[in-house]
Amino acid sequence: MAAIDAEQLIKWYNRCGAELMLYARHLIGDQAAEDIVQDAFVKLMRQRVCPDNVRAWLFRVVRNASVSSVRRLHIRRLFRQTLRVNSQSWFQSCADDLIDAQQLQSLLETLSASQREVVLLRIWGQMSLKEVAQVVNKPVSTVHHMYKTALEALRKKLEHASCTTKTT
Amino acid sequence: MHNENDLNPAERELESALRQIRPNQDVLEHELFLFQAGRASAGRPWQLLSGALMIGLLCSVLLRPDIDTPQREAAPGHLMALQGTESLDQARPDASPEASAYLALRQRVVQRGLKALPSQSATPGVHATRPQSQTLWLERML
Repeated sequence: MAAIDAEQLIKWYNRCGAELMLYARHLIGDQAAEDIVQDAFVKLMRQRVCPDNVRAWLFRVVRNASVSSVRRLHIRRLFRQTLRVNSQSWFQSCADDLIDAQQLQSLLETLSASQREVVLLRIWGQMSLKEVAQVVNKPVSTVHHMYKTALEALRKKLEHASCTTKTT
Repeated sequence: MHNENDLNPAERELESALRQIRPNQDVLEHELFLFQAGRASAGRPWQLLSGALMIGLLCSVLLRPDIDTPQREAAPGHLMALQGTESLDQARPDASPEASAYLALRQRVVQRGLKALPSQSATPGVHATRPQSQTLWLERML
């Protein structure tokens, strides 16, 4: 497959830029996320041969860059503080949504990092479990189990939150 | 084999509800990305130029021919007479008697130092025939 052209690049940017940004923000925080996502697209543009699965390729590049960036930070405590301080809303608030955007972000933050990663890739990355497994470099069975566990945890927390709201 | 649809109805409902929520797009600057993409796609002529110059420089250093040590240019005759400490009478056998006397004196001064200088009264001939300017005298001699 030939190198990607500008039109295709813009198409991919519009198609999965926001999802990549969400994924990167979960991994690295707001400040570095945008640079990492844009670097991923620039890297895609420089590829001599277009990857077979562009979406999975982009998510993998963002993941690798984020992991490298976190390693460079060294001080994990500082990194977590950065995550908390700079966390803008991850999702667009919409009145029609069944789940409140801010509430969803809070619920996602209660999941473990690996579970949250799988959910983000599966739901908003629109990837199959096999593709998710390739990105996170884990067996499909593990990813499947993590995804089901995370969904179950989210469902219970949402039910608990709705019960609390009704009683108050 | 794990089926992706291996979800109970409640999980499936939650999944579809989650899919309806869109990620925040305001945090991504579209114009900045376009600028960076354009900058990355543009050629970098200065890098190509500097690379070519560097290659040229390396080639010129590695492939240059052996350069011999340049030979010293022969000094003009009147300077050659001043350079050596050997007897200049041999070099210029046709020197005049005054020049021979001067050169002999010079040779003695070079070999023995200032003590070899004759007093004024001891060598009246040399003093009398020496012109005021040594340079003029040398030019006249040559």
